[in-house]
Amino acid sequence: MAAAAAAAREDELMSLPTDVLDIILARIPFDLLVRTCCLSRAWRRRWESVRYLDIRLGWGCRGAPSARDLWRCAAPIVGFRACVHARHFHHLPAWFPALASKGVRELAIECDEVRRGHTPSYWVIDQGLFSCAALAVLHLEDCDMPLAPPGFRGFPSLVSLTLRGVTLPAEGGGAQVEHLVAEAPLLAELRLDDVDVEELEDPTPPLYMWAVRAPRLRVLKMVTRLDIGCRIPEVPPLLEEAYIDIGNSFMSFHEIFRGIITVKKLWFNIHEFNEYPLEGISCKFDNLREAEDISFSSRDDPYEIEEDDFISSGINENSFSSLKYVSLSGITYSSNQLRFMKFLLSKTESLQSFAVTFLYIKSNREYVKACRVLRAFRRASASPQARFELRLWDKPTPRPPFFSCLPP
Amino acid sequence: MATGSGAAAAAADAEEKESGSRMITLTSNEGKAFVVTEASARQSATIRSMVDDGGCVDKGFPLPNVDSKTLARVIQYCDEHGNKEAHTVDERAALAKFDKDFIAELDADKAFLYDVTMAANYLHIQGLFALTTQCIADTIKGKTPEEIRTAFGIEYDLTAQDEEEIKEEDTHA
Repeated sequence: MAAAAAAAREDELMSLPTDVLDIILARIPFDLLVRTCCLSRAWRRRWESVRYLDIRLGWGCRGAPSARDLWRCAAPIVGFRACVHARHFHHLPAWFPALASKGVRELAIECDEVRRGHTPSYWVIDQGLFSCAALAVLHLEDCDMPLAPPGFRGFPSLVSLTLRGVTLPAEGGGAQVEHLVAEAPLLAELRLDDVDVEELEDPTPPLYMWAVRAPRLRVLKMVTRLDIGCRIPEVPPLLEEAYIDIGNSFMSFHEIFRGIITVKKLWFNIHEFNEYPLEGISCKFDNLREAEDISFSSRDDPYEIEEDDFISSGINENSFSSLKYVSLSGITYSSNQLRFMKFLLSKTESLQSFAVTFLYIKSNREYVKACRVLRAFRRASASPQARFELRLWDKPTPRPPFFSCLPP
Repeated sequence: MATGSGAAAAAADAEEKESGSRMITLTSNEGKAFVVTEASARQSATIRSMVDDGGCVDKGFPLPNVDSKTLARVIQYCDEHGNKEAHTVDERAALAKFDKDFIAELDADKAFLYDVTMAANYLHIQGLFALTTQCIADTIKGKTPEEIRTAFGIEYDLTAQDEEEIKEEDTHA
């Protein structure tokens, strides 16, 4: 038998050094990797010693791995990213203990959206999730987040947390995210993208407040239509990039922007607001010195304000003074928006590009008038060398890419 | 790529270190010397760290694990990636096309592909190693077990008992 094994080792792949073959095998989809067990005797258990697996299950995968196969993998498993069909959702409670024991570092679970809105309403992720103590990256999408068992200490190595289309339990859900963030001293990326709180539709819902305290945060994404109680009480000093898309008068963007005034790159979208967004920002960003990109976009209906509001908002001479790239969209021929643009052009000496997307679909009178006024502003601007671009609504500036559960 | 020996003149060395246009000599296990630009040689993390640690640049680098045929092919990759810019979309597309053609040619000669893979591993040329290991993985991916056995010279020696076990594992899964 020893001789047979030696002869079998002669095959081309087996004669490669172990670490090289491991790297090759780690590049094979997991189901095919498991299937290498039937190649020959030498290959019978070869796959079980491949460390650093990054297991990915796209929507196109027919099967789902059994927990038994995950238990047989070598530790550590680097990543487990799964698009989970309805028929595979029952695997989660069995997967988590196996993944936890293999010290999984990156975990992404995206659930089938089809089930959303049905009863039982959403998918509650199994509590076993919280046993994956080595997590550095956690991405949950289109599912319900469970409450952690008592005594849960957080994910101390967590660097990136993404909750997208996730519903939090009404009681303690927000506090749990607050806890996760607080117990992750290295957290650099936080994306709360369309996060919801259970039973928010109730006529008099109690709103539990919670706070994001992340001293090392570099990237913040917050997309929400309703106020979910999230606040940023202390400015993350390292924040570089913020993507804010909020609507409805529940949440005060003044509070949000007070929390992110250190940001260097800002993408901002607002709709259905009772206050005029630009006013709030021009006040709150008085402290801003390093902004590189500010992009305002009003997707739905741009809010008109009276001329006086903007004047009275008390713009500091130094606001936006180091802006390099500005992109504005949802703009109309309104005196206040023009005034704001004039202000930017006249005060921002560092400007390198200035792009405006008007709400108008084709050249109409208002558009022609607005263009004429803007070009006049530009001639008088502090940085006439800046790239100047006027667009129509059907050819808008590109939006930031969607952050996927299965990155390339 | 130029072949010769001792082309890196010591006198010009200090100046050229600034501009990054120094030449470096790599010697195969058959004693054949290959003179490459430093930018090309720096594609190899192994050589990069030796260069950065100082010394031995004038003497060149003997590579006892790499034969001339393999080294020539590895240098072809390093020249393309080290000496050319990849800033614009067009430049990146040109590099991607180079990679595609490069690996397609290697794929036709499996034994040589393994040699290049081993050299890329030894020299820590990340891009090249990713390219060749992915190519081998892709060969495994697209095939039935029988085709994999044929492609890599794997002999089927499973006993009836093994087959039974595998069947059992499958049904448990």
